[in-house]
Amino acid sequence: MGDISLLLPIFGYLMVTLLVSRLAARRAETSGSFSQRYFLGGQFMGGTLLALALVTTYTSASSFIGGPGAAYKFGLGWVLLAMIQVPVAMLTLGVVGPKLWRLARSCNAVTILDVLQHRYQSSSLVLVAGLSLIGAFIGMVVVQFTGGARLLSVMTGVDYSVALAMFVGTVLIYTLWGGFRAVSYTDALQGLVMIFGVLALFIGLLYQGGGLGNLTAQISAIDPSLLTPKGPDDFLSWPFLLSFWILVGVGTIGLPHTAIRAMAVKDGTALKKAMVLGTAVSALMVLLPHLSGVLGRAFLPELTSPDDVLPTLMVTLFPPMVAGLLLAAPLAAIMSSVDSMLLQTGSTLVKDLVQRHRPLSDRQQQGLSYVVLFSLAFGCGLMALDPPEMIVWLNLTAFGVLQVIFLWPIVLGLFWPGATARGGLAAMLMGASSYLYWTFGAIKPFALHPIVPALCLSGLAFVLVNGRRPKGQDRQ
Amino acid sequence: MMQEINSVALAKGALGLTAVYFALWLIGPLWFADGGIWYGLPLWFWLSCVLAPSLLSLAVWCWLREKRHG
Repeated sequence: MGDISLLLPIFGYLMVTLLVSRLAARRAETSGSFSQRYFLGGQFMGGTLLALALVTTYTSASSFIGGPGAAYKFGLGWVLLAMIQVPVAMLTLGVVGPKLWRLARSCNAVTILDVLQHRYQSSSLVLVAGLSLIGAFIGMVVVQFTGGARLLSVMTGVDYSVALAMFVGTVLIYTLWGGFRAVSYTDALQGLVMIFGVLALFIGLLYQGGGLGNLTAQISAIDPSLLTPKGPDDFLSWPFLLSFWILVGVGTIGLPHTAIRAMAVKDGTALKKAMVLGTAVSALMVLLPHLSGVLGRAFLPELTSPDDVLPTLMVTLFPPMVAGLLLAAPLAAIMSSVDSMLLQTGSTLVKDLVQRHRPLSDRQQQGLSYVVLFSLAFGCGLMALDPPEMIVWLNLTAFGVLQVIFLWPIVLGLFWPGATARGGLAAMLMGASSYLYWTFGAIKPFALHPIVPALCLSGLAFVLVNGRRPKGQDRQ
Repeated sequence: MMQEINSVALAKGALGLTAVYFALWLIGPLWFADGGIWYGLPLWFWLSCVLAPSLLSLAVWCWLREKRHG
């Protein structure tokens, strides 16, 4: 058994998460079909809830593990790169928010694929989008499960498989209990835990390190290039930095697990409030963990695994009970992403790929949804015990694949009345094939990340293949 | 109410503010990379990673607060 003083606060946090989800589930709507109640829960989200849920869903393990790890290795230049993500909440809600909301309301849409089906009236387009979403999310869920369990295991000393069971079990229980509504409320709680965690860690770091000046002087003594925008050996080149404006900036507008939040917002005032709050929360949630990763190098100059920098700092700088509380922050970051991905995968399988072809009773919908979610979580948990190479492969490409599949069909579908299914399908296929070709051929056209030319080609394919809108097609 | 929101204007505003943020973000490494250390951190970092996001947050707040009253 691991360190009990570290485990106790983590257990406490997991219990509070379950309690919040139970309370949220009790407040669930009673009207509409099971799928509508479970996978969306109505348009109920206020501004604060939406901002926290959106930002926490977007910021996953990378904010506390991979991102600060890279910042530890490449210095302040990586913080500069990470800060590209700050406008994401404003962009997602501002660009597609009102139109998605209206469309979802007019056709009782529960999933992003419902919106695409309503807009394009094409089962081939929905099938391609659905299969891509399932493949991408399964890869991402397994990797998040692996990250969460590894974090728990390494920091508290419990066996990896026990940590995995604890992590998967908690996520599964609260997702099964209350669906989208419970996930949204737990995401908001997780957002608060993350804000508390990053603030406490940063203040503790400054206090124990003798202030910013002292810490940066020590880092400069290790390697002065850690304080430059391009990092050691000019690793962060301009094409690399600018590519990230697409990969983690503008390209994220159509990501299904974040865009769906816009469909559940209560009203326009809540949407605007979420844009304001979401931007401020993003700035805090991106800046502090990444900067802590850089400054942490002054305390831990010889870490063999840079990804462990934040959890190790928490355990090193704080007494065990406080460290346990702080460790809840990275766990929260992982859980808040993985629950939304599980729910989106489940809703795609049940609502978009089964129910669309075979109408189900309320009871059948409920049974199938629970079986699908349980199987997904269990299957992904099993794969996380010993992640196969295919999963790592999927995860590496999943984020980009989701962008090339969804960005243009969603954005142009909402803003271009002449957009047709033919154009949407061409954009998806062209985007995905070119992205996969460049990614796995390790080819960087013009020294750019493959996502940039792939999205350009995808948009071009949409416009060229789309041609003229057939007469009589409804305008949106 | 959501119906009162001009979705095209909101989208243009969000994209416009992102473009302004991009320009502010760019200024630090482009022009102040050799600006030395200021209050414990390089000057370029203060501009691109602290000032730019703070100004963006403030601008979004002013923009949408004004709209709410308007």
